[in-house]
Amino acid sequence: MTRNVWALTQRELQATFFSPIAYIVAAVFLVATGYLFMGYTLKPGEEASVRVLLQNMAWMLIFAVPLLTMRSLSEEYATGTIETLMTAPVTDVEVVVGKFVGALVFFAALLLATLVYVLLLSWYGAADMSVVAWGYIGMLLLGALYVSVGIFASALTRYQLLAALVGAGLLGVFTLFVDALAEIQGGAWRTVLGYINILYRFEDFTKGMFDTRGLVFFLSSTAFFLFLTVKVLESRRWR
Amino acid sequence: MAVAATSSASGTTTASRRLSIGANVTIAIVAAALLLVLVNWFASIKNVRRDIASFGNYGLSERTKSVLQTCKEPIEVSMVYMPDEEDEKQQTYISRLQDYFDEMTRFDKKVQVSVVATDSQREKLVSRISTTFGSEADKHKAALAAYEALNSELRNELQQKLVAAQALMSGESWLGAFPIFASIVNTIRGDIEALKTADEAVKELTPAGGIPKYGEATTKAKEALADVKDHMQLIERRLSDLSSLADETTKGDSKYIAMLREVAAETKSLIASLRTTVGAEDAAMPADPAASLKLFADRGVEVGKGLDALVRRVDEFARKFPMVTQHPNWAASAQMGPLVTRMEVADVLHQAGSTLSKARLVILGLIDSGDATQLQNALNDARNNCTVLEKNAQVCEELLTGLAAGLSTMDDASRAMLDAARSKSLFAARVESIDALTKQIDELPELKLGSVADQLKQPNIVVIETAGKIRVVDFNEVWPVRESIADPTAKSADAARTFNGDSALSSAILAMTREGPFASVVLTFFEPPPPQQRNQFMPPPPQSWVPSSQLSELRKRLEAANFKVVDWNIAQQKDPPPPEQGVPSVYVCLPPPPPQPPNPFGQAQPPDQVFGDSHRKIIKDLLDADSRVLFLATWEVRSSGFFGGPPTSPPYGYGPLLDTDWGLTVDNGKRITWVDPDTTRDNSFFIVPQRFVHMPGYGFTDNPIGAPLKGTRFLITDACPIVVKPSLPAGVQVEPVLRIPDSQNYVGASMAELVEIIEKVQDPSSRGSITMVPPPAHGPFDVMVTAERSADGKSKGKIALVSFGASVRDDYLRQPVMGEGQQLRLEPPPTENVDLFVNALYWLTGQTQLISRGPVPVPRIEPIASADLKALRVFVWAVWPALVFAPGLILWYVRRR
Repeated sequence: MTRNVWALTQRELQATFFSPIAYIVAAVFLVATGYLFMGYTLKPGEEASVRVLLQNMAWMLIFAVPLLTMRSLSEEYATGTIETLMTAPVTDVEVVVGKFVGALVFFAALLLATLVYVLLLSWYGAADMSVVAWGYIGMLLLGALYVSVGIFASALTRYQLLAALVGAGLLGVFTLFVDALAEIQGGAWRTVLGYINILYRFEDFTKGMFDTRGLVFFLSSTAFFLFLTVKVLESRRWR
Repeated sequence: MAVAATSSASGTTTASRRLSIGANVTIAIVAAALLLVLVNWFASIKNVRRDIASFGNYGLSERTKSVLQTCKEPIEVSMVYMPDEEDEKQQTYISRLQDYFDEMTRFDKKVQVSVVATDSQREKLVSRISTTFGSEADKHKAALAAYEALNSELRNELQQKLVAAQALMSGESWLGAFPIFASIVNTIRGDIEALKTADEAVKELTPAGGIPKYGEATTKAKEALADVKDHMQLIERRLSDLSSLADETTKGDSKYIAMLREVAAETKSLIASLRTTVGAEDAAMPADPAASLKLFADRGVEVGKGLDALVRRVDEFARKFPMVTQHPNWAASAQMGPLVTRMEVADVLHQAGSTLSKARLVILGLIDSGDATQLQNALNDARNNCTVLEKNAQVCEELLTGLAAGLSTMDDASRAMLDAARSKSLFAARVESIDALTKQIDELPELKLGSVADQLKQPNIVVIETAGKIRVVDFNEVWPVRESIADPTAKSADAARTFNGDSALSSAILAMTREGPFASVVLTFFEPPPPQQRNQFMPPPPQSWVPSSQLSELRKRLEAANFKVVDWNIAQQKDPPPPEQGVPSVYVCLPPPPPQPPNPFGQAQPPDQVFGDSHRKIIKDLLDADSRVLFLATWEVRSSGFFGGPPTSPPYGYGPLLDTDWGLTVDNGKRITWVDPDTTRDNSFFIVPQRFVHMPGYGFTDNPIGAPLKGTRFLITDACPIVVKPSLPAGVQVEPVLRIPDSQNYVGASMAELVEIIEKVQDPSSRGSITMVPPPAHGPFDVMVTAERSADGKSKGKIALVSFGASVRDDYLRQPVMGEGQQLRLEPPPTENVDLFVNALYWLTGQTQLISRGPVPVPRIEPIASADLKALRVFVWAVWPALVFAPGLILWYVRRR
């Protein structure tokens, strides 16, 4: 299984890194995060922390990640290569995991590019590196969840743009929408909606708070969306 | 047919297979979803949460956790921070506080937090608080209802009295003749108005909507009633006095009325007898004017004596019935040069008699000289004087007969009013009602709402309700000003602040949930009673640099922090206040005043009580008995002599005790002052006016008292060095709390150096740069230390010594701090000083676990030069994204080829 997943991951990475869209997304992402970094984080007198930067990045990735993952399965549907893939000696799970790992590696590379901000931050202020590291771990977990949602959306349709919209929409529901709803409703609703609010769960990582609830949430949610993706892929066989 | 049948069967099978798989998939998805929920639920029950940050900024402190765990009651928190999209800082304040409350609610489910972000939510909160805590004010409401009724009754009653009094004023009544009665009428009129105003004020303080201020309203009511009662009693007293006069003068055989008439007649006859000696003004000059003058002089003396006798009779009447002097006929208008003044009849007569007595000597002198012309002139003058005296006698006669007539004629209305006053029935019932209501108000319980009503109007507050109490934590407590200002040109609202929510909120909860006070703080001061008699040229005795009257802000904050504050004036009471069962006592010794410089003219003046050995011994004995004492020392300046003289710093009153028993010397001859070094000249510096008064107190050690304040602004004044002796007395251990570092910014200037500095600052040629050779002493300076003493393994007292005691005076804690920079900027007053004292009290009472951690000193971004900032922007916004994009561009180009 591992060999198959690795082979699929390589194929996915090749497709991604040879696609100019990934570089465009990465460049736009870095310009935007750079703007936020200079505007809100690297301000004399402010706390030397990546918290605000990571929170802003999490917000931006709601739209960026679906753009990265939109082609993972939709393109296979559109070009018909999905049939080849389905008849190849790989399981649906291997296909989904391969796609997921491929997208996650690219996401990690994107994150790696933002470490330049950490360097600048530590140059101008003695930021707590344990908090920074924990924040980046959280970012990786958040990225994994976003990617799994993006791939799930991509499995639903052969149209890449639609897949991106569905992915961003789903992520929007579990972030911006529930956040706004919690603000409006307040009280007990705020607590209940907080359980499914991805950004709210992510905050702990940016603050340097280790909480097993957050870890479980991100890992289980990622697994759940990957499971749903597998089920969607499986459904092609019996529909 | 067969084919068709097979096909149909196959279609049915496919459909049923799809249905079956679909159902399986659905069940699997539902199961997975349930598993997801289950796993997360389990994780939320058995979770592990740790703050991995080295500075622990976002988590709850151990103290807060302990406070929450100890608290048995639910804690309801309302965060009243109104969002402002345009104010970036406000958003930061809100989100940071929300983060903190999230931590709190995660840690303890007893804590319920509600966010009040709109005006309507705020109104709801106010209404709820009013209902919850207003119900305890039933007794206040009843008292105010009684007040309202009494106010109305009083006004009606006074109105009736006013109408009756005005009727007396307008007619020719006995009472109306007295001007004092007009003032009584005015008093009644004023009271009616005052009662109306008080009624309106009480209604304003207890509105139907919003939080009523029952405490203030009842106080207002009580004050208004007290004024009215005083006036009523005064009116009754005055009328009662008039009544006694009336009783005497209206009886048919009044000896005083007869006396007045006799005096009137006798005055005229006496003056007439004088006229006979000199003749009429137009009479011819006699051949021997000297003889006439001699007769005039001799007769004048007799007339003078006669007039004096009359004056005595009149005075006797006035002494017995002082109210008679208020009658308009008791005095006459007299021209005194350009002024018209009122002269009492008795004075007119006395002056006439006196003039005549003195004139005798002058006349006899003239007679001896024998100068005919002078004698003739003198006779003419005597005749003229007689005319004046006759006129005066006429006036006196008219006044006295008028007075006798007026006083002896009584009308019914005046009589009725006077009788009522004499029998104390004029306002008796109302005074009784006022007394009853005042007693009712005095016995009202203290309201928990307290001053919350006013605090709720402030922006950015946190309202905490627990254990049946309510407390408002204001913005400056949660967000105190940080120790350094990042942007000196920033406006007031932009003053850099730091988050102190953990300490402020947990302290509030701790104070609310603790059953008894943490400690009894005995404010120990030396304030001798003023002497019975004081020479008018003798200045009042010197006051302490930190008098007890200047500590109301400190008291308020200590009480809010759940300390009991007790006063102890060791000048009047030798024994300390008795301690409360189970409550530790801490003595806070204020700096005693120095003795007054000797008074060269005050030999007869009894010497003022002076602080000395006997008073030091009281504190020494307490310490020997293992007491806890916080000594407030301070730099101070006094005149060296009775007439002023050069300024001097008197030695610290408790200095000898600290020096001998604790090895600590308070060097209050030096003032620690902040200076900015002048880098262009050697031994030169500038004085920063703001920092002369508000000196930043950097240098907290890791001692638990001061460590929590490392991250906040800490401003002090009038600090002097504390010198720890190299060899301490046996068993004494000293630890610094605040050590001003050895820095170019701090100097310890003696009085002579300070005078020199001030002179040089005032010299325009210096341009503010002060050069001093040798320069004033540099640090390090200890300004706060703790000391513990033990003997034979037993504790023998614990002290904390602060050398900036003046920093807790009211005028210092209430005065906003002038910000530095080009724009005028006011920062909040330096109330953080009190936190240090609270921490010291916790330490002294051995409750160090209650010391809050204070704001966490988080690492901050250092200043960046604007050129560097530009370069960084270019790199981050353009260069770095371009570097990442470049491989993609190359790849795209290669693949295209």
